[in-house]
Amino acid sequence: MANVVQAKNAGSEDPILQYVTFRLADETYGINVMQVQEVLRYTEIAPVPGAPSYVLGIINLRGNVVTVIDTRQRFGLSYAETTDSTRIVIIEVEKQVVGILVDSVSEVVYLRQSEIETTPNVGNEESAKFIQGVCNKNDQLLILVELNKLMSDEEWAEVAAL
Amino acid sequence: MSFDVDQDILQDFLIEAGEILELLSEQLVDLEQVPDDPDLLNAIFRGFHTVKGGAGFLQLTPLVDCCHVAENVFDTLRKHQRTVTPELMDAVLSALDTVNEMFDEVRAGQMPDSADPELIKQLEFFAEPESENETPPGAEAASEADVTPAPVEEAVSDVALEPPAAAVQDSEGDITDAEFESLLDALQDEGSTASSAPAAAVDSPAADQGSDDITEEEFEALLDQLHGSGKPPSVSSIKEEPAQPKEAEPSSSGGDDLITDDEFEALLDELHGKGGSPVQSKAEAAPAASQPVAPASAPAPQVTPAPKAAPAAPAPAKPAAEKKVVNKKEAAAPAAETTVRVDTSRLDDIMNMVGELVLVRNRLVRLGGQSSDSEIAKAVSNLDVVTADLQTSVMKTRMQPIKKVFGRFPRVVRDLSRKLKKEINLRLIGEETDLDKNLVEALADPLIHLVRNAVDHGVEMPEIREQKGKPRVGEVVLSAEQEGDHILLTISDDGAGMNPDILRRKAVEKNLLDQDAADRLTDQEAFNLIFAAGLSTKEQISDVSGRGVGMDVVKTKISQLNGTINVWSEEGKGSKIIIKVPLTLAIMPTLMIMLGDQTFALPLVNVNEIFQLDISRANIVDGQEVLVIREKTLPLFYLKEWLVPGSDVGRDLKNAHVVVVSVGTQKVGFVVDQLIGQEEVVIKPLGDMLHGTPGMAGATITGDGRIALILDIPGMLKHYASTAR
Repeated sequence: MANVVQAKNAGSEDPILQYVTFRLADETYGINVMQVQEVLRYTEIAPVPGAPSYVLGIINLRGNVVTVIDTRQRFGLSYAETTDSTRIVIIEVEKQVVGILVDSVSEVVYLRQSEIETTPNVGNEESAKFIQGVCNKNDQLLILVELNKLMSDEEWAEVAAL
Repeated sequence: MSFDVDQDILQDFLIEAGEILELLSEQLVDLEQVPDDPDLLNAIFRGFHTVKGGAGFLQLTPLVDCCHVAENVFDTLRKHQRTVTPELMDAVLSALDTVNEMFDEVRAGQMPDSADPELIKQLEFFAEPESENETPPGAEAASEADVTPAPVEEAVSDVALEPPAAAVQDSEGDITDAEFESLLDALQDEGSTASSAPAAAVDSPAADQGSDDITEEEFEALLDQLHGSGKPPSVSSIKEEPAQPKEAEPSSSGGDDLITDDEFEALLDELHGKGGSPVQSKAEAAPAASQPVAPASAPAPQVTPAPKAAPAAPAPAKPAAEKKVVNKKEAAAPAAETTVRVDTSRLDDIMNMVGELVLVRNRLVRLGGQSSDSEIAKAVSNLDVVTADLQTSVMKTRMQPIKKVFGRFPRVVRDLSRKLKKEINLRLIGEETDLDKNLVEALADPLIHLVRNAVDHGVEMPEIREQKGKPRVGEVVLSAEQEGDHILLTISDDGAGMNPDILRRKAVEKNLLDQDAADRLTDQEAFNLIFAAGLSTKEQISDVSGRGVGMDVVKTKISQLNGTINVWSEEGKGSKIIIKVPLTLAIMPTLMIMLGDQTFALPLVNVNEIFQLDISRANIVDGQEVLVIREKTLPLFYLKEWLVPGSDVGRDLKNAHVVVVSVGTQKVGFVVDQLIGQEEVVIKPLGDMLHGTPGMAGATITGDGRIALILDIPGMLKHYASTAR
């Protein structure tokens, strides 16, 4: 907590950003807290025949139908069984509410803009394009995800055109 | 050119004036039937006036000009200086059309173009009394006053002292049109520049003297316009407020029963507070607050120049107020709105939440049934009843009378029959039948098409009708009634009717059917041919109808609404088209089925029958499995193969469930794993990302909180059946 207060005093030129961290395979990822609506326990996802491959299916979010994206498939990771800690993070991107399936959700961290480094050339090209940057915090590498790029521009355009 | 006004005010204006315009179009058509009805004339006059006032407030000059001339026409009419002629009606109706067009432009955020000068000229001609060649003073003076208000700084202080003078001038209780105009201007200007208001106020008494009485209607219209929603309580409460001694002087000059300046000011302030610019109302609020008696009443003229505008403006209008306050209170009372405008999306949210509540209730009912506690059972059954009531009430809030659509028809029929030189009487029945808002909107186009058809194709020319021994004036009846959970809409005419043989012949000519098939059709089926694309019996194509496209579209539209459409006709007697649509679009009866462990819903409109069959007996024709049922072959598809990827489907089931669905005229059998039963479901749209997924119409949530996909059978067949081969 002290860390946080210190960070807040750092001045306006170096804004403090809050990130929700989640784990996927063995890595920790962060998404901007402003884009996160809520975090749900795993509920049954109804597959939609004929849907694009990155769509896992739909869930019932208090009476609204929300599409869940297969984050592992998007990040080029292999399939994993769901566990007790599997979560669905409901995010709002470009005015659309979607869910992303993650292995677990850890915490909210405060980062200073200056702490964020641009992406080293890691991973394959497929996953690299929605990485916003990385941050080394407490000896742990945090990968910051640019949600708007979770789908390609064409895919968003496709979605928007529908 | 765009313009810069407060969006809230603009939106309010658009909604309210939009309603008035709709009403006007009805009233104008009514007027042709009863050209001398003074109430109607006054109502129309008031309608135009109110729109004009609102437009003036927003400084939509072209709109103001157009309404103004139209208003003048009706002013002349109601003074019996001219009678209603068809030509006059044409001019007025086209004025209304122009106003509507401008309206659309305003809605699109553009400053409307000026009205066609020809039209204005025509209207101005009609605004003159029939016999004399004199322009009514009201019009002239008003336009003068429109131009004159120039901001004169000193006027502010002058006028502040002058109200008594103005009151004296008007002591007969008359107010001129010009004054009225300037009052409007003044009020409107008050929002922007306080100083120009008094200038207008000063000008107007000089401009014209008592030539034209302000009428109750005008004043009401002004009030309505300012008021927006009409709040009689505020008016009466202000009346009761004690007059400020400072302002007693002007009021005393008018007599005992005068409304005092303060009161009127307070009234104006009150009105203004709703519509005026925030800056202005703040300025007024400040001095007002310093007067303990009545916060709404009287910013003293001495305080600051800004509030002075208010006292100045009301002065000329005061005499009108004097006379009318009593009447106004009476008149305004019944008009008081008891309704609230609610965004439909908010209603949808409520609807959604109620749906959720119903699901929770269902779960509770299930749990309650298991427990032995009678208290819980009681509570649960209570909840059951309350939720059901809640659901119905929320549904009702979305309902709108079909009048919304029907209201346009008198005009449509009138214009069309004039153009075609036919004489037609339109009768509307069951206008107050309620149905879902979305449905009301979706039905408008198909209905207009059908009514146009009835007028164009159905009803004959008057001479022909007389020859046939029918009354000269044809009748088109449009009726709506509720029948269970459906709405029946009937469009009938007493015209020529249809000849099934001609339809058969046409269908063959246009290669829609072969001769044999056409001959086998029953008359009823032959009538339904009119819905086939590309079929028109009309030899001549007019701009009204005859291209044979419309009915096809009508049919598609109605089926999109889960409705059906049927034709009945008798040659020489007339035709009748019956449309049946569900009460609401939100709820759809479905057949729930299981494939593997997933639930799917088939729209019940498509489902024909259900069989238990030994499908190992299925034959294969041209690579397609088919079943023979009652000597008819139908293609057989395994839904699971399509919808549950990676599942293996047994082809040798002795006792398989086959659902026969119909798509258009074609029938298809679907093999499913399990049948659950019929269920009414609330359709939830798939998110944007999945919208348009082939074969999926939406999703719904089942009683146990799980998701079931609603299948779009035609779409699914198109997508899967073609790729499967």
